This record gives sequence, structure tokens and C-alpha cells, in this order.
Amino acid sequence: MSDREIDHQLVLRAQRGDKLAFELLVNKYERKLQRLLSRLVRDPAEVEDVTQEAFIKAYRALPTFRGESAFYTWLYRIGINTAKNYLTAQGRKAPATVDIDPEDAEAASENELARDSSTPEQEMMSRQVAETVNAAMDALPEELRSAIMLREIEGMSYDEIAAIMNCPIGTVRSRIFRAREAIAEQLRPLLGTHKDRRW
Amino acid sequence: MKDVSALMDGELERRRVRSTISRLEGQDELRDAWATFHVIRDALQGNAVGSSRFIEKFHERLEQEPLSVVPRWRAGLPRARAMALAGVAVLLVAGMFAWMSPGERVPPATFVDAGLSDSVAIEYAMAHRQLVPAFVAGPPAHVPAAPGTGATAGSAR
Repeated sequence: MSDREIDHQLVLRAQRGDKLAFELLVNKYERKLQRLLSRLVRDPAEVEDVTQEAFIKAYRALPTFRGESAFYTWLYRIGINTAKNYLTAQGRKAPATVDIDPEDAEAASENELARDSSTPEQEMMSRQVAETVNAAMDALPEELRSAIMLREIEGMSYDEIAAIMNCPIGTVRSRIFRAREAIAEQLRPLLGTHKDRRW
Repeated sequence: MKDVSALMDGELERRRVRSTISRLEGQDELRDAWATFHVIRDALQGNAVGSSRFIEKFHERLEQEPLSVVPRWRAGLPRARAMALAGVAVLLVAGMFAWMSPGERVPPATFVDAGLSDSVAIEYAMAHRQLVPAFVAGPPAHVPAAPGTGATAGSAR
């Protein structure tokens, strides 16, 4: 089942009244959407509020989502409109450079977007997370590091990774999971665990 | 947790997706893994992590929201199928109204074949042409001339 189909499954659950399913989507896309919207709303303190508002609007509009486009493409449109409305209400104008085709949102948000703005606290958090992830990556055995890099950075499927690493798909699945687990173990003190988080 | 990892990559077998999502929703540890694995992904892809309290704040807001629910029968129904179903429903209702509307029902017209061939029929008509003046002008164009009458189809007399 593809990534898009997984999103659709979560949307279907949310449409049936399952708020947790929607939170799983928020968990997945919060950083991507924040990064995107930080191009419109420059003030870092406002970016988070606008992103929260965009997710709430998306939740309210869920009954109208029919899965004809990818969930993120739909969310992207809502995010852009929310940010533009916010700026208009403030008597400000959105930068013209943000008019990216929604269909290109995935690629644009990953590759082309300018540096996002963030508060000093967010910047420090980001730096700490990045350093921890990099250190954990360096400490990984070679086969685990290669597997997760091929997946997360090169965006390859398990099939493609299996062909490159010359091993069965099950081994790829296991290596990627073990890599994530090892990195997560180092990150948990920084992020907190479910005991500290409220869902 | 291995299934959560495969799920977020879109690489989990179809038959295990639903049960994994259900477990994901039911177990704090799995949700924690889902969240942390996505942070790792974003960090590796260069997305800033931002506030660690984002989801907590969102959770509080979402709690205040009324359920945003789609009727169960419509959830997941593609637009084309939904429109086709709506069309069928309209036809059914229209059919019901037509069937139930008052008024005399006229039986459908039936065509009785007298068993006469075209030539016999024309001979009969020619023999009685004084009684059927309209036919005197000649038989309809598609009717062949009756043998022995010397008439050509459609010719005026």
C-alpha cells in the first residue's frame, strides 16, 4: 500500500470520527507545512499559529475531501489560503514567490523552499535534533546507515534498496527499522516519550 | 514497531495496514514511535523540527472541535461511483412516480399482421380504388407495382 493510500486510510478513519487518525497525519506533516508556510508568514511566532489554524481548517473541511488529490496537496492549498487570509487580515501582502503549483508541493517543500524562519528556541531545538541524528547515524553499522539513507534521503522503495544492497526485502525492512530505533533511542531524551507527551 | 516503520514508508502489506493503524491508535509506545520516526525523517531531509509542543497544542484545540464526520456510506466512495449511485437513485424515484401516478393506462398498441402479401394488398386496393380515393394517386413509394396493373411505383394516374 503506497504512502498516499496510507494517508487516505487515515483520512477515512478521521472522516468516521476518529480524531487520533487525524493527529497521526498532523504528526506526519506538521514540520513540512510549517516550513512551507514560513515562506509566507515570516514571523516565526506566527508561523506555528497559522499552521495550527490550517490543520484545524483541514479537519473541519474533512467531509469535503474525496481523495481525488493527495492529502498533502489538499492540505497545502488550505495552508496557503489560511496564511494569505491571515496576512490580509493583518493588512499585509503575501510574497509573490509563494505561488507554487500545489501539485509540485511535495518536491517544492523538500527541495526548493528558502530557509525557514524560526524562533531562537526552535532553532536550538532543530540544531540539537540534527546533531543527535547525525551522531546516531555515524554510530550505525554500515548496512543500517546505507539502508536508511537510501530510504530517507534518496527516497528509494524497499525493492530498489534490496536490489542495490543485494539482499531480500525483509532484510531491508529490518535494517531500516533497526536504524530508526537506534536513532530514536538517542532522540528520546530530547523529544520526551509518550509519558511526557499529551495526545 | 517494525510494522509502524514499514507503514510510514508505504511498504506494509495491504492486509496488515488496518490492524497496524488500529494498534497505532491504541498504544502510546507505537504512536511515540510514529512521531519520533517522522522527526528523524524530517531531520534527515533538512526540515526544521520546530516546537516539540506543536502536537500537544493541536491536540488541545482538536478536543474542542465537534466531530467532522462523513456519513459512513459515503466515506471512501469515489466521486464517479457516488454520482452513478445518485443517478440510479433518481431514475428509481422517477420510475416509482411514473408507476404510481393516477390515470388510465392504455395498453400498448399491437400490430396485427393480416397475413396478406404486398401484391395482394395492392390488388385489393386497386379493385376498390373508387372507395379509397386517396390511394388512386398511386401506392406509397415503397410499395412495388402490382403485377399486371402496368402501374409503376409512385406514378401518377
